[in-house]
Amino acid sequence: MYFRLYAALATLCIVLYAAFTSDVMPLPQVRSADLITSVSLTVCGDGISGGGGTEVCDDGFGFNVGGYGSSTGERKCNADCLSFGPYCGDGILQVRYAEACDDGNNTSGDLCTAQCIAEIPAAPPPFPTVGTVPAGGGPTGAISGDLVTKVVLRGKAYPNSDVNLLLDGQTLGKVRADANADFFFTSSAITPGTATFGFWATDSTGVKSITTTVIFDVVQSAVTTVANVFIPPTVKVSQTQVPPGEPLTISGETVPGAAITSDIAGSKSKNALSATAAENGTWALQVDTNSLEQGFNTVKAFFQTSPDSKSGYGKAVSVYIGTESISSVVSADVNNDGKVNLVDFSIFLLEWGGTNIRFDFNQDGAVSLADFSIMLFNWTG
Amino acid sequence: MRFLVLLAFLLVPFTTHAAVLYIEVPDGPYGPGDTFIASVRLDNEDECLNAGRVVVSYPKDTVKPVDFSRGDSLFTIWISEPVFDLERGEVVFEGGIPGGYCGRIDGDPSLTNVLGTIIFTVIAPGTSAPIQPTALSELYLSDGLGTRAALTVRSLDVQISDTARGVNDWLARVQSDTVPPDPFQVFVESTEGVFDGYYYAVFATVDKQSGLSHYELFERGVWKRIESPYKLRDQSLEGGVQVKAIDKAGNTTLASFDPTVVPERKAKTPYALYVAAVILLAAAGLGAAYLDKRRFDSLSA
Repeated sequence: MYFRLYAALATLCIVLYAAFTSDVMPLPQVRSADLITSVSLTVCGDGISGGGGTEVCDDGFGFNVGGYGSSTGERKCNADCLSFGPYCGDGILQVRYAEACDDGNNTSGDLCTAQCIAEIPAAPPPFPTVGTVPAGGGPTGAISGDLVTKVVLRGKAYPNSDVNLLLDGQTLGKVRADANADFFFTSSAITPGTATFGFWATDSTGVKSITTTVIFDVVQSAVTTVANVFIPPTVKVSQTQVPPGEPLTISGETVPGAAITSDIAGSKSKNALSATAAENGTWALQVDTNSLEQGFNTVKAFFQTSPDSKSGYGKAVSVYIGTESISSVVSADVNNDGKVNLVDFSIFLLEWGGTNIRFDFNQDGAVSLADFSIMLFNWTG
Repeated sequence: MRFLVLLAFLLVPFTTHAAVLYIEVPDGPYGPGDTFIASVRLDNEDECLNAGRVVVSYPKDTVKPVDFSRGDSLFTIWISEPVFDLERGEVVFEGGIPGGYCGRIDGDPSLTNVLGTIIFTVIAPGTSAPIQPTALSELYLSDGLGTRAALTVRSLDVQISDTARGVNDWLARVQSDTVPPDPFQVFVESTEGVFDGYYYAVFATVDKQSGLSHYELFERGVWKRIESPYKLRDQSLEGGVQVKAIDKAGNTTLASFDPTVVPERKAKTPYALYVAAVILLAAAGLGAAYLDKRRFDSLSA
């Protein structure tokens, strides 16, 4: 008799527990809306200079050999297209190339001729000290042409952060950003053809950025330079759930001194708030939650250093304005090693087409392309 | 509550443009016996996309797919090998781009928007062969939500003639490929719940010219064609793990597992232990029943 009573009570407890624990709202994963960024690409060797302001010159395939130019009009582009070789008129006395003077122009009658010959006969010419000057205006081709396939990537992340590089989805290595958040990567080991470079970094508090991807054609025997690869700001919120009226702090890291625009969006309205990053790259905003919609809101941000230089939106986070209980979603890091990479994908593939809820990231009842998309969004390599 | 959960997802605002899938083929016409290359291209229309399944239909009485190249593809992670459905006249392939594709970047000398390359041979004379991505194709936004992108497809009528020109663009491309697949790494993993905790190998690379053909693993003295992930037969790992990637032109790149980073094996409880436990439980049950019966018998007596 008592046994039946105990059993009934136990069953009731289990049912109630199940009801309470299952009846929580999942915290939605949030989208990162698109924003046209300032990324640009130049190919050193295509004969077209410019492109995002990174190329200074480009004499065309096989002609970027540096070397001496007898005037500003005859100057020769260096192999990296970022500067010219020495020339008469560059303001630097090129003794090696028989310049007796160089006043920074190619105008005669100003004590230095258009050919960089001194116009004061009394001045002792210094150039005879060098005896290896070839005839005919300088050692053309003395700086050999760089015909290797080379990729140069320049961008901004977070001050003193490690920037993780992915090539075609796989880890390529790390480079360190400096105190201004600038990073630089170059490699001559990239195969020509379509290349997919991914970049992500972790800020000083351990928050990971979104993976910023650039896809372009690596040109054979040329220097392909991609500039303005901007990793968007990290964003975190002081609480993922805030009762209406209580303050909310949104913060993160980005490029020192950059202007931050943070969007907080509900279903019907969007608030755009601004901040300026400090010298160490940190930024923060205090938000009056009375001005936000009740329910789920997404918070995301981008930075801008000038009207022409801005990042895309970074990873968005969700904040719930209200008092309902919320729970977290399933992670794409299926083996819980802190990374989302080929290993997670391999495990995911074994569940492809099934219904295993551990791999059903969007909880639609099937392990499918939508879940694959979510995994790729969170990819760290 | 279900309503609230649904509402939570709907609350996230978004706008969707229609990405465009289209086909590009070098100018024809092509006659019976000619082979041409059809590139499946993507116009992202300002959307960031990261995964997709592409279904391309073709007139099966006029042309036949004979090969598929991943060489120029934006996809770097592939769900499976492309499938040729000769009955339905469809080619299906699916893959993704970690981090997503947000469009051609300013200054890129190429369009850089190929998702896959299908090689067709003309099998019968005719006037045209309409090749098109179908509405069964799916593309997904790189938004972390798995949102399906709006999609537009464009058909292409490939000019077909009655006489062959002796064209084989694909053969020319393969023959000119002397570059091996990109270097890659082989990872050996052991994960609870995956292959019962046994060691398995994980690997992937790309070939940017003719495209990757397949992988082979050296096991028990022979090279064996495999796919990632692969459960290793030699669980001691003493023989090493070597995988080679082979492209369509036969160029190979070899990769070996670094034996200094052997992960801890998530050993599964031996099967014999389960059997022993079941036998013990059964014996205990039988013993209890026997004692009950004896007590019942003694009370009855």
